[in-house]
Formats: sequence, C-alpha cells, structure tokens
Amino acid sequence: MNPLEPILLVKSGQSLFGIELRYVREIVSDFPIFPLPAKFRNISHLTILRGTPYAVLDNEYYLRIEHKNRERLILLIGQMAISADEAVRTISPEQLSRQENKTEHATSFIREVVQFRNRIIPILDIQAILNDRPDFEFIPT
Amino acid sequence: MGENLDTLLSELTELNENIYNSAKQLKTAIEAGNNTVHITGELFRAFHTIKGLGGMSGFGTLAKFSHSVENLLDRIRKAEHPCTMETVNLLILSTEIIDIFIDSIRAIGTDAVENTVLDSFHRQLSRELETAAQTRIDTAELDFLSPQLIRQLNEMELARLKENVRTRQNVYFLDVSFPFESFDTGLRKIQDGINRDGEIIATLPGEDTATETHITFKLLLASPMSPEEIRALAPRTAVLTRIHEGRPEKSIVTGATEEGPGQPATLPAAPLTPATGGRTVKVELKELDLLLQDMEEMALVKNRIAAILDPLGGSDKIGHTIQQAKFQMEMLDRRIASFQKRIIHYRMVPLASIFRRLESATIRTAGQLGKKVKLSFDGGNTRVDKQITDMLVEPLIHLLRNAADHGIETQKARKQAGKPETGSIKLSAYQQGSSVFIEIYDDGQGINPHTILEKARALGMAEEKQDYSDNEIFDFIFRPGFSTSENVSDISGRGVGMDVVKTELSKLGGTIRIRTRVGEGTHFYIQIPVTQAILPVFFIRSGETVLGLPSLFVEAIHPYEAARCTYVRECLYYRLNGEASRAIHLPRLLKVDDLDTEIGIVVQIRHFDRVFAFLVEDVIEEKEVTITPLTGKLSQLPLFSAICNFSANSVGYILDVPELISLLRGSHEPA
Repeated sequence: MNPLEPILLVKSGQSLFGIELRYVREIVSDFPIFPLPAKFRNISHLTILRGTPYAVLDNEYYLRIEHKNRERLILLIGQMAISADEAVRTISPEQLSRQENKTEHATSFIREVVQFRNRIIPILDIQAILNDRPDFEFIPT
Repeated sequence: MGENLDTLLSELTELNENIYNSAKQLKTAIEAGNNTVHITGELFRAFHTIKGLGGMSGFGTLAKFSHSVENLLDRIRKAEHPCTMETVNLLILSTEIIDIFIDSIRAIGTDAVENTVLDSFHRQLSRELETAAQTRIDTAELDFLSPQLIRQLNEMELARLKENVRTRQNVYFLDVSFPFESFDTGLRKIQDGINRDGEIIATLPGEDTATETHITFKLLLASPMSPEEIRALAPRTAVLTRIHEGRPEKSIVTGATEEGPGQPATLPAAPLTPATGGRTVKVELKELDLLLQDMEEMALVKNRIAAILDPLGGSDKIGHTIQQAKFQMEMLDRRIASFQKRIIHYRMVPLASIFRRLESATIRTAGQLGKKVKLSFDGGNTRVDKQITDMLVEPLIHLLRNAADHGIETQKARKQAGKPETGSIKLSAYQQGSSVFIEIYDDGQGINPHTILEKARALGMAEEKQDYSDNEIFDFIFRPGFSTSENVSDISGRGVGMDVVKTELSKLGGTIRIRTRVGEGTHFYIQIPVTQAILPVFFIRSGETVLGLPSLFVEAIHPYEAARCTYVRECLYYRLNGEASRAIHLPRLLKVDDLDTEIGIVVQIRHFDRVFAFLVEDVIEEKEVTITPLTGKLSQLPLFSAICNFSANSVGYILDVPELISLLRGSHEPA
C-alpha cells in the first residue's frame, strides 16, 4: 500500500473531502461559469481562466454531494476544475490515519478514506477522475 | 533549449527551405534548357554553410552529409558532372534528410539519423556519380578559341566554357569600355542581364590598353539571348562577337507563372544566405497564440463590463457618463476585433511552404517502388494558418504515398493500359470563402468499390446483406484497421493510415471525400478552414446555451415547417427543395429538449455533395469569432470542437459538423 501524501482539505456545503496536494495547481476565487451545451453526467459547467476553458466536475456525480448554492472557489487539477466553498487547510500525512472501511463513501472515484482528528475524510482518486470519459450516447433523431 | 541552438535550428530550417526553392528553380531551368550555373552555385554555398554550421556546433554527421552533397554540386559547378533531373531529386531528398537532422537536434540535442536513411541516400548519390560520369570534352573541341586565350582561362572557367559548349549555348566575346568612375556599375548591369539565364564565364583584360579615362574588358559569356538583347545591356561602343554557335537564341519570355504574371520564366536563384539584420523579428507561433489568448480574456472582461453597464442609463449627468462609457466600450470592441484579425494574418503562410516535404516523401516512395511518377503542385500561394499547414503535412504525405503506391500502376501495367509510362499525381489548392480546398488526383488504376466492400465484409465492418452506396463504401477506407493490401510494407498494408488521415483532418475542422473511376484514377477532396483561430459562425440558440455552426457548412436558412418532416425507418428526414434530406433535431440530440423547446428554423447544411437539415430553435446572428480549441477533459465532449466568446453570461460552443455527419452516416442510415 502506498504511503499517504499531504492533502488539501476542501469543504463543499456541509461535506469535507481531500485532494492530494500534488494535484492542486491553483485555487481561484473569481471565476466565470458557463452552462454546457448538452447534458453530461460528470461535467456540470465550463469555466474560463486566462483564456483557457476548463471542465468543472459534477460534484454530485463524483462525490455524491448535493449542493444547491454556487461554490465560491475553483481548484484547478490538471486540465479540469473542481468547485468548492472553502479550501480549509493542508494536512500532512502524519496527521492522517487510514480507515479500512470506506463503504459509506464508496464510489469508484474515492481513492481511500482517512481520519483527521475526529472527522472521516474521503480522498478523491484524481487519476480515476481524469480517466473517466463523459458519457454521451449518440442517438440520431 | 539554448538560444544558440534555437538560432542554429532557425538557420538550418531557412537554408533547407532555400535549398528546396533552388532545387525547384533548377528543375525549371533544366526543363527549359537554361543555364544552371548560378543555381548550382547557390546550392553549393548553402550546403557548404550547413557543413560549416554542423561542424562548428559539433554535429559531425550533419556536416559529413552536407559535404557529400556539396561534393556533387562542386563537380557540377566544374562541369565534371551533368546537372540532371536525378540531381534535382537527390537535392529534394536531401532536404528531407536535413529535416530529420533538424528534428533530431531539436528533440534530443544530437544529429542522430538512422543509418538506413543515410545509407540509402548515399547509395543513390554514388549511383548517380558513377552512372552519369561526364564525357569530358577535349580542349580540341574549343578550337574556336586561340591557344593563347585558352591559356588565360583558369580551370573553373575552362570547365564552365566546356559545359556551355556541351549544352549548346551560344558563346560570345563582348568587348566593352567604361569610364573609370563608373565601370563597376556598368559591369554589374551586364552581369545582371546575362546571369538571368546565361553566365559570364570569364572577365579578361581588354585588348586596348587602358586610357587615362577608360578601362576595357573582354567578357567571355554564354547566353541564350539574342545579340540585340545582349548589346542593349552594354554601352553603345561595345563590340559583340559570336565565337561559338549553339542553339538558336531566344528572347526572354515573360508570362504568367505561379509567382505571378509578368515575372521572368526563370529567375536567378534567391539569395541563400539567411537574412540577418533586416527590419523584421522572428516570433514563435506560441507567442502569437498567447497574444490571442490575452485578447480573448480582454474580450471576456469587456463583455462583463458591458453587461454591468447595460441596464444602467438615465438622462442625468451619471446617465450621460454611462453613455460615454458604453461608446468607449464599442470602440474597444472594434480595436480588439482589429487586433485579433491582425494576429490571424501574421499566422498565415503559403501552402507552398510544405510542398518540399510532400515532394521529397513522394519521390522517395516512387523510388522505392521503382515507379515513374511526375508530381506537380498548383496553388502554392494559397495561404493557410501556420498551425494548420504544419498539421497537414502528415495526412498529405500519406495520401501522396498512397497515390504512388496503390494508385499509380507499374510501368508495365500502364503500358498495357495504353497510359504514359510516367504516372501523374497532382496536388492543387485554392481558397473559397473561409475554406481551403486541397485536391489530390492521380491518373492511376482507381479504386474498385466491389473490392472495398468485399474486404469490409471480410473484416466484419460491413453487413453481409446490406446494400451500400459508393460513398458509403468508400467511407470504409477511413475506418481504423481497414486495408486492402495483402502485403505489409513500410509504405502501406498495415491498415493504419487513412483513418488517421481522416482523424487528423477532423482535428483541423476539415473533411475528406473520394471520387474514383476504375482505370482512370482517384481524386481526393479535402476541405479545411483557412484558420482554426478565427471562424465565421452562425450562432444558434439551444436551450440555455448558444451553439456556433461554422458558416462554411451552412448553405441556406429556412423557417421550419412541421409538415416537411417525415420518418423513414426511424430516421428523421426534412424535405428541402423537393428532396428529403437527413435531418437532425439538435435539442433532442443534445438532450436539452423539453416542453419549452420549439423548433423554429431549419439550417441547410452542405457536406460535399450531400445536404442535411439541422432543426434548431433559433438562429441569432452570423459573426466572425476567435475560437479556443477544447483541450483536456473538455476535448472528450463529443460533437464540439471549440468555444468562443458570445456574451458576458454565455460562451458559444462550436459544433463539430463533420463529426456529427460522420456519426449520422454510421448510424444505420438507410442506403
């Protein structure tokens, strides 16, 4: 099993989740957000930062987080963006302990579940998210 | 990469381009029977420079390679070797190898080129040197010159004289006298005129000794010009004497060439020395991209400010100020648009800039196959975005190699078919609106649709009992893994290629179609946008979003009439101009169709010879937009190729029309 890595603790609505720090390229607070031209299960919006468009992931699909208000932050992860309300803090691996049972957070996009103080934190599987293709079935009319 | 290496690569690239241009001029000069000495001289100097650059920079293999070509050119200069079409082919092949050197230096910092490539070239070079050994002309054949004059000529001058006699040029003496103060300009005028398609072999002292005011020369020259034309270059006192009669002289013909009307049919080679110290700077394409990106961001911010100002107004002082701000915003809008257009213009390069690579690859393929192929280009002045031209190279090389391999028959087969032994492949390009059309046609054996269908069925790509139109059958050629070739070779037969050609062209927003006739040849039609950076589009409302439909596909726009819709085997059709065209209900396709969706407009789309009907809610406007390709996860979105600014709250999504049509054609469409 790979050793734990430093994570960024992120809050969206009432939910907390972790992203391995090495994936986080930038955190942006002032960002325009645009709807997509078709319905995709895994991408919710598009944002443009410094002229470059990024796909904003659908948190409901990847994290099972239902959050009605518009998030205030965008975390750039490679060529995609994750929306959130707050980047709480970074946490070093020594402060985290692995949890064997991750059934409560079971999605194929959760790499593992860790405990920080008395909170259970799911850590996103960024590679799995990057490899997840948008589902769009072509049904000619 | 270090700055020195960047400079070296830039110089090598420029020299290589010049070598190709000179090789083309050499070809024209040989075909016209003109003097080639100036062109081979320039080529010699170019290879000499590359040898020097390679040696100084520690790229010994490059230096050695250049030396071998330089050696051939030196022999040609000294008239020890004839200048033939084979020489031209070798020079064009050498530019391909220099490209490989450049790529290797850029990628890994060394001049590592596969030995097989170099060995193959050197074999051809050796063959050329051995088989085309020059029949030396004895000085006895220069009996029209006095022994005393022959003794005055050095080895090079003598060689040049012999070469001109061998190629049946008229040889003259021109005795001229110039005032001391202007002899250099007078001589230059004669040199420039003669060198156009002849040469001054030697400049000897005049027979009259110099006076206090004048200096005299005896010019030994060879030229196809008429004596009157030569005399017109010299002072009136000059004496012209023909000492050897070659072919009948001709006047210099001016006419329409690809360079433009009124240009001399053959011009002296362009200077090969890289231009330095001019009033220009070189800018990387990516820097222009960054400028465009900045400008896009600026347009986005401008849209957001405009959206803030939009609801504001009034007749008071603040209202007046807001009006002024809005006016200034419009000015800014125009400046941004003008800036974007200027940047786009800087990105445009003539398609001829890639002809060199296409030609060398085709010559090599034909050589490997032992076929005689004449490749010609037309429309090299057509300008296309640099990024697109770069990405076009591989697909076009593939099509040309395929034409040489599969299209053009063997010499024996062509003879039996009553065709000329040399096969013809032609590439022509032209611009129409915001599209560039490239056509590649060969006079080979064509493609038999029955063979294609048989193979497609054998590969499980086509249904056994289904009928297919010819267009649908030819579409199988572009499927991954399709190949009719039984033998796998370096050139073809691995089932990879044509699908990649189509994919690469699609990435550029382009499309490809085939027309072929068995026994007569094959014709590929390619349509690509002039630039990927700016595109005229029709903005279409679709649910909450705005779509951009590239104007190049839009043939007409009609109001929607429900009665014109019909279903055939679960496929939607719309009657346009009396014919049922395959239709796409765009909101339904994009799954944004709900109770509020109301189709109001039909956009008539033309894709080569087929017409489609796109049913949409509304067409907002047509506009030229700067587009940003979708990358990363967004590139996985099907049906869309790029985005563009539309308003403060909305971006426009550019529909990938060829992809959409291709999916439609593959969706069990009735034949």
